[in-house]
This record gives sequence, C-alpha cells and structure tokens, in this order.
Amino acid sequence: MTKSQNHFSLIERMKTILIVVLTLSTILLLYFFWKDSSTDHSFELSPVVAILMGEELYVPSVEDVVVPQEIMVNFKYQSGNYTVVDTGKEKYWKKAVEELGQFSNESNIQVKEIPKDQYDQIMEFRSIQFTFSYDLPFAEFCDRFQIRRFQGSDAVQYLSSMGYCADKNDSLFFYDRKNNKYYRMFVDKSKEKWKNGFDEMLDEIENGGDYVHYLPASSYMLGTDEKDPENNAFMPLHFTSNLKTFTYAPEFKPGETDKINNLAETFYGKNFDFIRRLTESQGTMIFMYGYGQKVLIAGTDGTLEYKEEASDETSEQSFFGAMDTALKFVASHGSWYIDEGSKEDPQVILKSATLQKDKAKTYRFSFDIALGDHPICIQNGYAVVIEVTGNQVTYYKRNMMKVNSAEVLRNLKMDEKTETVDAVNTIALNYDYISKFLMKQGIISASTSSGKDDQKTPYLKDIVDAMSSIQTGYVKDQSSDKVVPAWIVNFSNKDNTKKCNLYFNLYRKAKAEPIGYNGANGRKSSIK
Amino acid sequence: MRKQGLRIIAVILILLFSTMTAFAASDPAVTIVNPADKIYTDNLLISVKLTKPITIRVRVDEYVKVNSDGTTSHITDTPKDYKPKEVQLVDPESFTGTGSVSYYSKQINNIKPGAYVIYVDTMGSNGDVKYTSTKYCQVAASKEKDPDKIFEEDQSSTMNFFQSILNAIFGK
Repeated sequence: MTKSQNHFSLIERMKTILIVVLTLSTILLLYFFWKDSSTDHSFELSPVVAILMGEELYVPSVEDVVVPQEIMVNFKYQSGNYTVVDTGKEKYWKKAVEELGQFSNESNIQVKEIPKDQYDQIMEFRSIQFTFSYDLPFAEFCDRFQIRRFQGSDAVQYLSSMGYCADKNDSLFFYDRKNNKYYRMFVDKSKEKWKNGFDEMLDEIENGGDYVHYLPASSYMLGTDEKDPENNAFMPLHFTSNLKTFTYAPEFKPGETDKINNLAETFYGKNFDFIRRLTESQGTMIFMYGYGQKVLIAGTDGTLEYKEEASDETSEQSFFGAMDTALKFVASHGSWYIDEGSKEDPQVILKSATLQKDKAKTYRFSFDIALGDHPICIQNGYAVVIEVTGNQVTYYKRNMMKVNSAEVLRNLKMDEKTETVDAVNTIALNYDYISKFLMKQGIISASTSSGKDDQKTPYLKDIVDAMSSIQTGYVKDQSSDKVVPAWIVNFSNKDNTKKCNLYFNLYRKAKAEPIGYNGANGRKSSIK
Repeated sequence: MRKQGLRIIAVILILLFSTMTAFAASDPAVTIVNPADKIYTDNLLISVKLTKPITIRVRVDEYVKVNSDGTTSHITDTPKDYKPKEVQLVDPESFTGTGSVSYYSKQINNIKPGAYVIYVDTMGSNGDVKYTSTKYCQVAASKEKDPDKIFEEDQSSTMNFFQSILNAIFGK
C-alpha cells in the first residue's frame, strides 16, 4: 500500500472508533438521565437534569429531616436544674449520632432490657435525652446512619428516645415507645471507659449562655403526694420570645389557572395527554387520568391532593427508602420552597411516620416547614402528607404557603424578646377548653379520671398525664393571611395511639387564647 | 366590776370581728403545690395554685441561728440552746391570678440546706391581708446516690437466681 492509502486507512479507522465511542456515550448518558423515571409512572427529570436545565430542585435528605422533637438536659442530680434545647437541635443530634457510631465500634457491647424505673432513675443524674415524636426502626436506622449492628442490637426494635448519663458513661439508654420497652447498652467495665463527646455537649449547653430553666409539669401543677404522671412534659419557668406575626399567601388561589396547571404538569407532563380536566363551580380543579387511576385535586383553599392507585402492592421498600422516595417526590411536584426568592434551603421537619395497617406496606410521612428552628404548624393537618407503597407514591396532600422568609428570619435575629404567657398558665387559663377537647378526642375520660377529689380541677392530673411536650412555634391561620406565634402543646393517650396538638396565642395581650388544633386523626373536631 | 366586764366583752368582740383574726387562716382558693415538706435540691421551686382571680403576695423567709458575733448560720439540725430567728430571704412578690385557675411560680436558685417558710397572703382590695397560707419546708443536702447501684441490684438478684438453680441441680 502507498503512503496515502495507509494514511486514508488510518483516518477511516479513527472515524469508526470515534463513532463507536460517541454511540456508547449517548446510551450511557440516556440511561443516567432517565433511570429515576422508574420511581414514578409519569415522565420525570432526574434531579441532575433539572439543575442543568436551570430548575432549582432542593431535595432534603433523610439526615436533614430526622431530628429529635426534644433534647432535654438535666444538669445535676436532684438540682431541679433542667433545660430543653430550643435552637441548634440538628447540630447536637448529628454529634449524638457520631457518638453512637463510635460506641457501636467498641467490643463486647452488652444489651439488656431494663425496667422503666431504672431508666427514670438514671436520667435523674447529669444527662441528655433525645426524643422523637415517631418511632424509627432501629436496625434500619443503624444501617442508614452507619452504626455498626453489634450482637444484641437487634433486640431493640424501635428507637423513640436515646439517653446518655454522664455519671454512668459506660452506657447508652434507649426507649422503644411502640413496644413500651427500655434498654441499656453498655461496654465491658473492665476495659477503659468509652471516651465520648456527650460530656462536651453537656458542658457546651451549660456554659453556652443563659439557658431557659425548665421543670416537669407535675412540679408546677400537681401536689407532691401525686404519683409521677405518665408523660411529665417539661415546661419553661418563664419565657421570652421574639416570634412575631407575619403574612403568608397560599400557593394558588381559585382562578389562578396558570399556577395550577404548572403544578399539574409535574404530575401529568406538559401536554396533559389522556387527562380530563374539570372545574367545579366553587373553583376546585380536578385532573383525572383514566377512570381515576390518578386524580389531582386543586382545592379552593390552596391545597393540592393527589391519589394514585397502587400498581404493585407486593413490592416492598425500607422505611428510609420510602422516605427518600417521598422527599424526592415532593421536590419535583411543587418543591419544598416556601419563598421563591430565597437562596436558603428550607428547613423541613418530619413530624410523624407510620406504617399504615390497612394498606400493603404503605408508609405515611407528615412534614412541616420551620423558620429559624420554629415549626410552622397547620390547622387540621401538616404542610405535606405523603404515602409511599413500595416504590410508588400513592397519596400526596400539599398545604404549603408562600412567605417572605428572609424578612422573618431577619426579624428573628434583630427583634428584642418580650414576655410570653407562662406555659403553665397557658394550660391553666384554658383548663376547661383542654379538658373538653381531650375528652372529645378520647385521650382522657371522665369515667377513669384520677382527680375526682379535686372539685375545682378534677381533670388536671389527666391533662398533665396526657401532655407529652410544649414548645413555641407558629400556626398558620386558615381563615386569614396571618401566621401567628403560638404555644404548641402535644397530647397523647397512654398507649400513644391517639395524639393531638393544641395551639395557644403566645403573648400576654392575647391572654393565651386558643387559636386552633390538629385533632387526633388530623380531622377538625367541634368542641362546643 | 361591771365596767371591767364590759371592757373584756368589748375586747373579745373586737377580736372576733377584727380582720386581723383572719390573718392566721388559710385561703381555700390558695394551694401551695410546691415545695414539699422536705426536699433535696439546690433550686427551690415555689408553685402556688389559685382557683379564683385574686391577688396574692408571696414572702419567703428563712430560719437562721444568730451567732455570738452577730453573723447568721443556716439551720440544718434540730436547734438546741438557741432560738432561731426568722429573716427575709427574698423580696416579696405580688401576683394577680386570672380566670378560674392560675399559677404563681418562682425558682430560687443555689439555695442552701436549711429551714424555710413560704407565706402566701391573699390581698384585699384595700391592700389589707385577708388570709395567709403557710408552708414550711426543709431543704436538705442532696442525698448521695451511686448510679452503679441502680443496675447492680438487678445483676445480683439475677446471680442469686441462677445460683439457686445451680444449687438445686448439684445439691450444694
């Protein structure tokens, strides 16, 4: 062959190789971009593509949203000196998980079930407790948060609380609310005591500045001859706050067809192929695929509700896998943002997580949004409620709002704090209202009341028994455009099968008047 | 004689109907929920429950021993050979309850072991004291408690249980 023929042959060979490489790259790229569409039956861009195309898609991680509802600190044995961490919970919980991870790497860890009495006694010493409002499957929690599963750790089915006692620092203590069991995990005493960061955490909270003194509700409200109540929520002695009322706008109003259609497109695609659209006289819009296999309802109150028939009820997914699915779904169907102009990631809180009994392996997650660590509660529900069956989202209710979060956060940093109504007097002033509501919800009962001798306040001990926590936050007022600062009081019955929240105005001027509730079943209840 | 008898009757009647006699009586609308008679703590919580919208004044005094040099000491044992003196611990505070149930609460931090008394005066509209509810409280030093012992009892009873089984098996 001549030199030019060789040269030509080389060029052709290089072209062939280039074509093959380009073809393979295209196939790989298409696979990479479209692989997430199996999680949903409608076409959906993966988060990477969404970002490349300029869509800001914030997906909170499981680690971001799974945060204890309460972190309670006891500074010293019999000192009556307690506090509840108000801000920065994520930081302390993240540290606690790291410490648990280090603990799990110790050798010869023993796991022992202990009676409630021992758990309560050890927490009377210098200690810190992390308590969730839901129950996390412990084995899956260990896998997800990279905690080594050591021999005996499978005895703990659910994680509801984790506690550490500085005066017994060879151990960690756990509470499984679902099975009402307490556990102690401890390392071999003959070896050097496990070095940990919990003591630093306690020192930091104690020395970090003025902390608010908390005490058990029973100390304020019950006589000293009363038995310890079931829940014994911790209440601040006196409290100041700079939470202020601010305005919000619903995500959409009746008649805002463009906004509603934009949201609907994320479920059905741009062209709405095979989708029937109905508009009711009051303004509710309904989008239906087929004979109701997929239904989307845009309500006149700015809420969005989506239902999809489960296509494969035999498929299963883990608790955290289902939560991942839920978090991504919301991100791509409406987003987690409450402030379109904000560059800061929204603060998302998991409020409840349950396995639905009447549906095949369906997890139901409820989320709220927080501003500056203060949750924004929704009347009669949550900002997002979502059910995941296998890999599929089968129910999604969205009650989000639009606020100027930057302005609210700026005011939180700058505004001076003012006195609030005491937590104990918030309960006292509303004693009649609370007792009637809890009886209507079936959380307390007149027939089993333990306070019959107290003629003035016969249900007081029952109320203290049922009160599981009290904290400050915001409540979205559905009947106006205001979000109002409030005391948020959580109640539950003895076996934790019924729960509800009651909201009361935070400040003295408003005299702690009730401003709403979230009923035991998330449904509105009439009290009077 | 007759005049003296009339004077005595007049004094008795004045004492009977004087508001000052109410000074010693407790107000049924006031319950001192906390503290208990004896507590082991560094911080004293005072919690008073009111079942009427009344105004109260809360006073906290301490019983002390006056030493020969004029200084005072906390009383931690039964007084012998001296008479304790009652001194004001903190400034009195007023509180007005609202509604049918309300609470007054206050915490006195870093309190020393000793003998204390809490007075809750129910104030009239003229600033007079209509009732006084009283609670005596002994603050004792925190009881030493070994956290290890909480679990050791459990372990030793478990050991005793298995020991008894082994004894039964091997006849020891």
